[in-house]
Amino acid sequence: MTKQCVRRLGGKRDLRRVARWVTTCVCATALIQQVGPALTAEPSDAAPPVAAADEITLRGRVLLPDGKPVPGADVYWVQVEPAQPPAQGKRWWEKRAVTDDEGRFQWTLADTDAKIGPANRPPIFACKAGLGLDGMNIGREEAKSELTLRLAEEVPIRGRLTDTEGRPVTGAKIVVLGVQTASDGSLDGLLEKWKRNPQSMQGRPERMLSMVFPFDRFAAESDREGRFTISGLGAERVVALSITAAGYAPEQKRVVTRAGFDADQYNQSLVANGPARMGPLGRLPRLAPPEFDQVMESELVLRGTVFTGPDRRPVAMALVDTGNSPQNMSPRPMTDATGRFEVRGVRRGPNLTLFVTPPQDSNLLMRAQRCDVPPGQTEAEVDVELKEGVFVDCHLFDQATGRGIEGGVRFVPLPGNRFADQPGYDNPIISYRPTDDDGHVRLKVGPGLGVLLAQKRITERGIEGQPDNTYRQASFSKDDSERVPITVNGERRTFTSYSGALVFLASHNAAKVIDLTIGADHAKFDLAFDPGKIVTIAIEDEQGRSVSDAWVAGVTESMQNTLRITESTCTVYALGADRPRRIRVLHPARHLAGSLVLTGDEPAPATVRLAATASIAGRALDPDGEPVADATVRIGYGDQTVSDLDRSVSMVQAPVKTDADGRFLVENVVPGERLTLSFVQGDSFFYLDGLTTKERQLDAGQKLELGDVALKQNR
Amino acid sequence: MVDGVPAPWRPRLRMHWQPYTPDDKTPWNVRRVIHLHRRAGFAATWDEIERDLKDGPQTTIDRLLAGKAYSTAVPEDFEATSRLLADAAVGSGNIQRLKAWWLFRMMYSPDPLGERLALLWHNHFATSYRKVQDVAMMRRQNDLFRQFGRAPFAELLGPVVKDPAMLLWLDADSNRRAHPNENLARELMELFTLGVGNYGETDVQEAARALTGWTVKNREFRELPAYHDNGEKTVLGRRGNWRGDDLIALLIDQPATALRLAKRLCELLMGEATVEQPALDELAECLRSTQLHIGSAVETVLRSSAFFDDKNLGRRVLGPAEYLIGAVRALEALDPPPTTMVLAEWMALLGQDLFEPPNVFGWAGGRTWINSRSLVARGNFARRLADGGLQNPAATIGWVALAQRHGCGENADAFAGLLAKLLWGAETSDEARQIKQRVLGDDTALTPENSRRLVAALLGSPAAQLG
Repeated sequence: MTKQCVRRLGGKRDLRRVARWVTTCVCATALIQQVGPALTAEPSDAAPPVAAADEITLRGRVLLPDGKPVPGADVYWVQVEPAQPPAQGKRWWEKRAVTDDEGRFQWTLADTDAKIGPANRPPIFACKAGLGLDGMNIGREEAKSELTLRLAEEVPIRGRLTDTEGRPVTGAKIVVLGVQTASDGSLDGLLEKWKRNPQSMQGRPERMLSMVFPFDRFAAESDREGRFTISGLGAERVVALSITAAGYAPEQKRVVTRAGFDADQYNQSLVANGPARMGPLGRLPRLAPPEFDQVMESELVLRGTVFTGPDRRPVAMALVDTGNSPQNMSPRPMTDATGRFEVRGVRRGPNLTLFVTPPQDSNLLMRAQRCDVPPGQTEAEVDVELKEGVFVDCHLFDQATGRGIEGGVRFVPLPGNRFADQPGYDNPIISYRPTDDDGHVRLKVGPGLGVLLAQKRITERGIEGQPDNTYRQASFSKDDSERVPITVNGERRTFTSYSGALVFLASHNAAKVIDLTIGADHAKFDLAFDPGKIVTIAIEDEQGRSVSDAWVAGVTESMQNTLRITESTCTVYALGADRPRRIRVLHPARHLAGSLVLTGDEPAPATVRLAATASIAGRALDPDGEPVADATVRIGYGDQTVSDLDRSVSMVQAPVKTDADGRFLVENVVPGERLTLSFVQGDSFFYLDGLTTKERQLDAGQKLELGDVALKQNR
Repeated sequence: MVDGVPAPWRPRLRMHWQPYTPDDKTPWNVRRVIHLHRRAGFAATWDEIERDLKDGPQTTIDRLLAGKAYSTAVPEDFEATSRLLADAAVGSGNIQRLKAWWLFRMMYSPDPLGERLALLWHNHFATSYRKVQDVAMMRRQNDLFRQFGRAPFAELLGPVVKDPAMLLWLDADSNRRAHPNENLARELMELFTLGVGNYGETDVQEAARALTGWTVKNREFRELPAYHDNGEKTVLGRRGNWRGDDLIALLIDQPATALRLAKRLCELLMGEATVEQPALDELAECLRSTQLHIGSAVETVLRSSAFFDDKNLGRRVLGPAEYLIGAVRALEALDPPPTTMVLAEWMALLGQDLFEPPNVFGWAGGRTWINSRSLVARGNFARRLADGGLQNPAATIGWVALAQRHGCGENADAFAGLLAKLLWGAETSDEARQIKQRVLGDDTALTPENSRRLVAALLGSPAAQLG
């Protein structure tokens, strides 16, 4: 690989630069683990990159914000090596071109370059000193057209790190975890959205530059005064930074690179618009201006031994973590041959938990052990005992076609599992273990009675397009049903786990009761997914005219079953006569709503006729009779499907707010439903109940005027 | 005298608070300098002690009153750094960070008297985060204690009684005309001003009516006229359509309030039950003659011969803050500094969890600081400090360097004597020698291990618990 790079960069002269770059890539490996395949200096010999199907030449220009060309900009290509489960794939970046006087670049992808396809859109980046980078993902469409990368004006990030004793933190490493920007180059829209609804910014950036780009340009180290500068990311970006320093707990910042950015007003919106009772600052990340101070807390150091069995045999090569380790920590703390470990950078606080993951080929179960560190200590000793589990091989498949299904499997103990509360088995709920493409997965399970639960893999998708999971909810076999009572509440089907917690079957597509003993051999289980029946619905208004662009809830039997459809028809999946399903439709722009019950045996298309939605207006007064001003108004529906529908629609719309006099108007209220209204004002939470009852709901088209309403307050 | 502060009270016939003038019997010596700093601050470093010894009592007390007593390890931009740490603590939503911030102020502020008075008011107006659950509000209240801590008491009492944290703490935000809540009124009379025995149950009920309508909206004080009881009330025999502010003025004017404040200040500066009633009465009169000016009363006490009398030296049990911060400063364990977040945890172990007093009465203080549990905790703290276990784990602390800085060479006996001098102003080495003998026997070598053992032993000794 090194030879390839040298050739493309122009020969031996650049060899030193490549060597430096390789080193940097290695340092960044762990940073990427959270967000995708690992970044590494060289691909593994065992798994060569996939060859490009056609010869593709990438062409494009690098421009300034005003459209002028940028000569001498470096253009990078990111190589991607597919994951080979359980090993993660690898990524690494290569400088492929330097723009000419007109800002143009061009190169032809080699056979060894990663394939461009619908599921694989490798990113490219352009950078130049004194300007902010730009990048884009290259799919088939982009590869055919002339690419345009716009470098941004420079707004350096300047920080000062101080400890809780007011002293500068020197030698801290600051690295960029990701860069978020907007399509039009301005963060105005993004920040306005943040202000209205900070939660909606979680996980759904308008445009996220890939997490893989030349790190050596964007890493920094704090100086003797604790100061650092990161240049080259450009203006109008939201930059996620990781800050680590020896002796301190790690920090993360989300920096807005806009000169003079006033972060306070946006952070206050966390108070105003965040979930009720979240505390003054909530748990959502706060924004910081491009020049900021960060106070670092001193670390707590945890040391101990991981062992197993009555003779306390040490467990080597076990990963040990507290969940707040820096993302770019490399290598992760691991036990040595004597089972000893040391975890640094731990943040002080209550509910400290040590997560111990034994080697994959060991039959020992992972453990999450609460650490009760005595107050006043800077170092603590914690020993962890691991218990033996049983390997279980599962195969997920479509019961109609027999084809394997990519998904995940987890294990939940049932009441009566006598191991579940014992130390070492007391974290028995195994989180989802992903299968391979053909639906095969191996997991380690604790002994005793429990349920294997499988679900189809959910890809990151929006609210439009096809649903991900079109299989029916999990059902137990006749024998298993006798061991696991299911509670049906409306469309919610649940069973109770060993801890008394409810397990929702809507999240799963297959379930199997197992009862393993300590020391048992490998067990194998086939988990069948039932696709059920399909019906197409046609959506019409009261006059029988087709209605397109509506929101439909209940499209599948799984969670996340609400879609925005562009047509006037919609396919409904996973139906069955044993569980008739009510489909809900809402057209917020036309203030229409309707519903229809399906079993899968209806002649297609089944018609759902919409009627006018209701509205509720009034003036919200707090228990003191004062107007509840500038509060976010939320509807809470009793019906889960309607609630999902309302939540999906409200995610893309401006929240309903009371005015300065407490007046509000809530439109698109689904008629015929039990509902409550809640009002969130800062960290105060008010509510109005008794608005509807089982016998009395709003009629279609009803405009309910409440006048002055005295709200109750949750303190 | 400090700008804006009235001259200390000088009645023609001042009996109990005569000014201190050094003489052969009560010389201005190391012990008295350390005494002054222990009572009016936390502890001085040796450089500061030598400076004050040279400058004499007048200049030294002037410096204390002016908020310029500490110079060792005080950051140049102390207030800016303090604001940064407080803002970050509020931003973190973690009350432990706010505790650490206050300890930073206690340790590095040039004005230790300001911090001691803030601590006094924190105890007097005891408000707990456990109920308030808002770091920003706790910080705001704490800033009031600092801002008005030396002012005429009315300037402090008014803002504190209207402070959102206080109103939430005492349920005053639910005090309505139709259903008065007496909590604030009761504590205002019993704890903040008059004291038990100086009011009746009817006074509490009537005072609660005067306070109706006070509440917290959007984390700010608000007065809701619609919920105020506009009827006439009789409080302490005076009848009128009193509102909250009227009530405060009425209580400020009571002789019992001045006497209660005099007791509070004497507990702080003179120790518990060490000042007899005539002296308290005289200090109360001093307060009344200056509109309850706290700074003036503090100055009267600090400049008095009673304060520097032998009977008042080393007789007061150090509270956890005085003990912890005092140890760190006296032993110059400031580079690397102990982690304030760890110190905050030790404060709680020693019985004084800042921002979380046990109840409305605050910490009882005095001898109650010492019990079997807290003594063990103090011993453990002394060992941790000696071992360097309060610092960031990446840092190390060396006591031999302290010994060499003060000319002890590598002699353990000399080092023990130094520690006794720094910690409690010991004039002779007898007690230190005994402790050293108990810990090291005849070994006189000052190895790092021996130095740690000596620091732990002397800091854990009975004499180091007093000041």
